[in-house]
Amino acid sequence: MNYDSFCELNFKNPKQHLSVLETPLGMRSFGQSVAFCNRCGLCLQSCPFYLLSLEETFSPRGYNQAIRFLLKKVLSPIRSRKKLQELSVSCTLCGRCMQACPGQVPTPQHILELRRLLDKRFLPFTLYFLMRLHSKHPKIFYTLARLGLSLRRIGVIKLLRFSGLSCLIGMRWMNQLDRMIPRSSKNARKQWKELLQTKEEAPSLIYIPSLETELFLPEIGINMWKLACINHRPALWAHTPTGLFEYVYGNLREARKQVKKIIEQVDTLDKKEIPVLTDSIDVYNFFKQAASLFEDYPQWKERAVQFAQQVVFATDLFPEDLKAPTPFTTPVALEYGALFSRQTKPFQTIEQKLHTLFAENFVQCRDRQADLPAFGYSFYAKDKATQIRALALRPLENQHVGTVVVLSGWAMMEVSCKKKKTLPSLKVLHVAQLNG
Amino acid sequence: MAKLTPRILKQCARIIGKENVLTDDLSLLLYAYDCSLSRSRPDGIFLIRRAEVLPPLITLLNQQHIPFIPRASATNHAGGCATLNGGVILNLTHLNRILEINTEQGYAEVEPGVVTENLQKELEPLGFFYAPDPASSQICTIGGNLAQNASGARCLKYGGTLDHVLEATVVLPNGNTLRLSRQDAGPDFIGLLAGSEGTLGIITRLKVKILPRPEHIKTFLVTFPSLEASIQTVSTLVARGILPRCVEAMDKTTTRAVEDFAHAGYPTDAEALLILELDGNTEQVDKETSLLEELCAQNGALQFRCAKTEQERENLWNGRRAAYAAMARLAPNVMVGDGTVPRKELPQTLKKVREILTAQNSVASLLFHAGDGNLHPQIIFDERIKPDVIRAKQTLKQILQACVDCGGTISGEHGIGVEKRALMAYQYDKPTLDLFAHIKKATDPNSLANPLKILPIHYAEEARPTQGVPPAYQKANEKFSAGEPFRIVGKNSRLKTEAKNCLSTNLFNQILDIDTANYTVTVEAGVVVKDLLEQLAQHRLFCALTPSEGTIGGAVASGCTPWIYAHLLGVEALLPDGSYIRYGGKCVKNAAGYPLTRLFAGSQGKFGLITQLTLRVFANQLDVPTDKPFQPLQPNVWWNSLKQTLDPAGILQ
Ligand SMILES: Cc1cc2nc3c(=O)[nH]c(=O)nc-3n(C[C@H](O)[C@H](O)[C@H](O)COP(=O)(O)OP(=O)(O)OC[C@H]3O[C@@H](n4cnc5c(N)ncnc54)[C@H](O)[C@@H]3O)c2cc1C
Ligand code: SF4
Ligand code: SF4
Repeated sequence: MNYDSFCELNFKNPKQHLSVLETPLGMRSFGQSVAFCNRCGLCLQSCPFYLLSLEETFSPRGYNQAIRFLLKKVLSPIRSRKKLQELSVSCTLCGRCMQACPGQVPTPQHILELRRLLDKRFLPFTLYFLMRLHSKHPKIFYTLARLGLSLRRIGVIKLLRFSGLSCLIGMRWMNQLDRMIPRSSKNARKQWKELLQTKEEAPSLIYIPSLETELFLPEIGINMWKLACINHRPALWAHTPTGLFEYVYGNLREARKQVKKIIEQVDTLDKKEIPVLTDSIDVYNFFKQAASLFEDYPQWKERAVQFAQQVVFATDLFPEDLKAPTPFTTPVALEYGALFSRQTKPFQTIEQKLHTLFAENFVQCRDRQADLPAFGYSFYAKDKATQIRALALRPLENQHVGTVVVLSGWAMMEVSCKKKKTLPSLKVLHVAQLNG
Repeated sequence: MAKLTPRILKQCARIIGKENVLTDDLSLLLYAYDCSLSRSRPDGIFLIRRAEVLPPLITLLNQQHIPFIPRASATNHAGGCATLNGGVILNLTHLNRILEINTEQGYAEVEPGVVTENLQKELEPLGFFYAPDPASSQICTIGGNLAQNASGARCLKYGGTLDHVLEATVVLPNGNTLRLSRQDAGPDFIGLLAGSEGTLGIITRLKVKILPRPEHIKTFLVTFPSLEASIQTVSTLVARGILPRCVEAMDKTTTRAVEDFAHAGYPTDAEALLILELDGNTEQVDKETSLLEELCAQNGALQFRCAKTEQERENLWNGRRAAYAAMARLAPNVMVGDGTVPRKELPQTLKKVREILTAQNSVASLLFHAGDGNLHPQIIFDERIKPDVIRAKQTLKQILQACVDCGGTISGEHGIGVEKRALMAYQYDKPTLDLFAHIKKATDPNSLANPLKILPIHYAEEARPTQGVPPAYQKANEKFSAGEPFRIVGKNSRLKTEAKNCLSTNLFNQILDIDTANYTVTVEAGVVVKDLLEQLAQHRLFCALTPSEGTIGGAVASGCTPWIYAHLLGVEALLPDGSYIRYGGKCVKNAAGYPLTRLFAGSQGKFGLITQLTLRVFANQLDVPTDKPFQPLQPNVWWNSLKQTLDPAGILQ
């Protein structure tokens, strides 16, 4: 049995999914990586979705075995398509299973490839359309998005909701988005707009804001900028699609194109090894895995490896004498929700920093059962996301946390969305906002 | 076996709800495996969300002759969850409620699907703990633990799951419900249930013992120049009455592999490494620590390190915990073996095991619970490569055979399932295997509850050659053949029968073996307890019995000294059909087959004549409760059907 024949399952689009994965234990072919799941089950109790369902079908072990059966052709992807789709969307790509697994089997990566193989759009059509637009015609996208935000500001979305129109199929995600997007101050919006227009001829760092920061969370952008300015002359590259959406929910070709575009843009600079900064832990993790995208493209591979090394996160820019903005009297916690894994370096750095900044006031309150659902999960699996989100934030309530530090704008939106109801006094800070 | 027709499925769906019946391709494949290599596709999956649905559901399945296989977290290494003969999987993970925790009376009542660590987490803030600690406790369930008689590092001191279950409710293969309690007079049926792997019925509720958390725990790392020296240290320690909370051990090769991977700070130059823990109140732990230090020095320990902080303690354990991960990263699959030998045989067995591994060219780590002689080779292989699988299986088979050759058993805690059932014939002779088969037949006549597990299929030809009835018991055998009803009595000190036709065990009164290195004693059933204790005292040994004029066979069979059950390691008995069974021996643990020691304990001489017993002994006096008054039997369904099967003519009165 040739396990490495994963591509055979989808002749038409062999480059639509990865056949070689960057696992914590080195590069492995997809088949080999799946084969390392020896069914020990040690991951079961760490998977939020297994804990909700208590069914093998929705467990990391089940996911890996399902893929294995597909590879062995014991299971027909056509006959079991529906069930496989249900299975593949249930995973929140949180990476908790990977941490619990003795062999560090990258189950979320496997699930991602399965989704690509099934070649289904998991997001609601309108949202999908907008995201396409974002990658293909960013200018039109941003104009539309700004228009949407202006409409929201003058109350049109509320009107839609009250009129019941937003419940129509294809419109529901709007409700969700409306609920999640916090309202920023006019001042911040103005300041951010100015920043977006600044030009730096000889930058020593490139800051690529994530989509959510650029559009909805100017405060994060401003603080990231300030952080970058401490030791660098940053250039802000607005309107740069990061490929994250394509990587997680779409066709990899597009994600590849976008990473290539960024690399090409970087290469036009004098200093090619310039640090590239991002404000979202998810984008950071995606950039760090850039090399695996180009496994079959030798001419790009080396540059992609280099690019991955250039990528930095807010935590890498912290000054030695970082001081907390205001004295904190209530407990401070860190939120661990991120795509793929919480084991990435930024989490460790920020944990250390929080320890030094807040001493005893920094509490470890990680729910045994869940982290915030990953980027976009709330849109296609709303009910499950609500349950998982509630689980993830329960310890914040239990330990009376006053401030929670998040590592992405997305997590900030997820927490803010929940906090309205149950944690009204909770303050959510992006890691960049820690710097005074 | 009947087929699961759509009509039957519909009837089942009516009982458990349509949404809880899964028959799609994917689900059938995903419930076809456990942590072993066995895999076979079930005909349907039933998600059991309430225990109350089980009696009507099982009644229906029984009527329709559909086999059913309970499945919890499916972490067993034995293939226990494979559907060998078709049938349905009953998924029990949803039965996960902790029903009551009573710290005053020291028990917790749980459903079978409660994850072992979740109970532990609930008990922690209350200052209590649940003693059984399989390495998988974060994922396995308490029901699964009882079904496999799982145990862990703490087994030496606290015993396996079997010793911690006070009450259990079982849905029998015919759909009836049976409640078992440790208070019941008669055989230790809860004991029989332990390690039954779902073949006797489905455990639906358990009352387990919980203990106050020890005040103080101290962790040590000790290294030795030889395996023998390390085992000798443990033996002497145990014999001196000090039961460490756990004693984990590794040989040099394993220590190096673990250290390379986990950097736990283990010295890599010693031949053997022990991680020991002592627990109790501060004074007791301090006293035991000095004795431990002294014994280690006597046996030439190279290094004696005590963890001073919680962090250091954690570090010491991290290395041990990482052993499995170190292997899991090297190859796609890890085959975890589980053989047990009498403690003193460990060095010799380990040598043999290393030889086998070299001869087979297998890479494996070798961990063992030094206190109870339980060794876990972890052999790496690749399931996709057939010759590799054959090699791994062959290696494990030879290792387990070596364990049996050293007087041990093919399973200390992981059970038999389907993976090791062929080896049962290597360990037991035909009469003993027949008795296992009788137990299954008596309790599940249609063979529907997890069928075809534990027993080898063609054991009649392959079983270990039977040695027949020893000459000393031929007379008794003749009495059985005569067919006249009679009673078995010892000194008649408890039974106080006036029956005329009796078979007295007085004639079998030899103390056969006092093993001072292994701390076991093997005696004939007719030995008087007082005499036994006197003999032991001459060797400065003690056992958990109060001096009495009665016989040891009587003490065990009458049910008046139930605490001794946990110290019973082996039994030989003559059955009414003239077959002579041999079960267990000097091993502290045995999870191969139904625990026959528990069947005969408390059986009041109604199943057969106990001829010989092997017991644990200690070098320190133990606190022994006073004997309970003799209670006449209260027969339950199991009792009746077992009696009917083992003694159909009713010879034993
Ligand atoms: C990494 C790892 C480490 C392990 N370490 C240990 C260890 O240290 N010690 C040890 O003893 N074991 C160990 N095991 C083996 C395993 O965890 C135990 O055998 C455990 O008891 C199985 O529990 P489970 O809930 O997974 O049961 P399952 O595997 O689901 O079932 C086990 C058997 O019991 C039956 N069964 C399950 N529930 C019930 C019920 N309610 N009623 C009747 N029958 C039932 C099933 O049919 C099956 O035959 C380990 C396993 C792994 C993967
Ligand atoms: S993913 Fe890892 S932890 Fe989970 S069953 Fe597979 S090997 Fe075990
Ligand atoms: S990534 Fe998260 S949700 Fe997905 S299988 Fe692993 S633990 Fe479960």
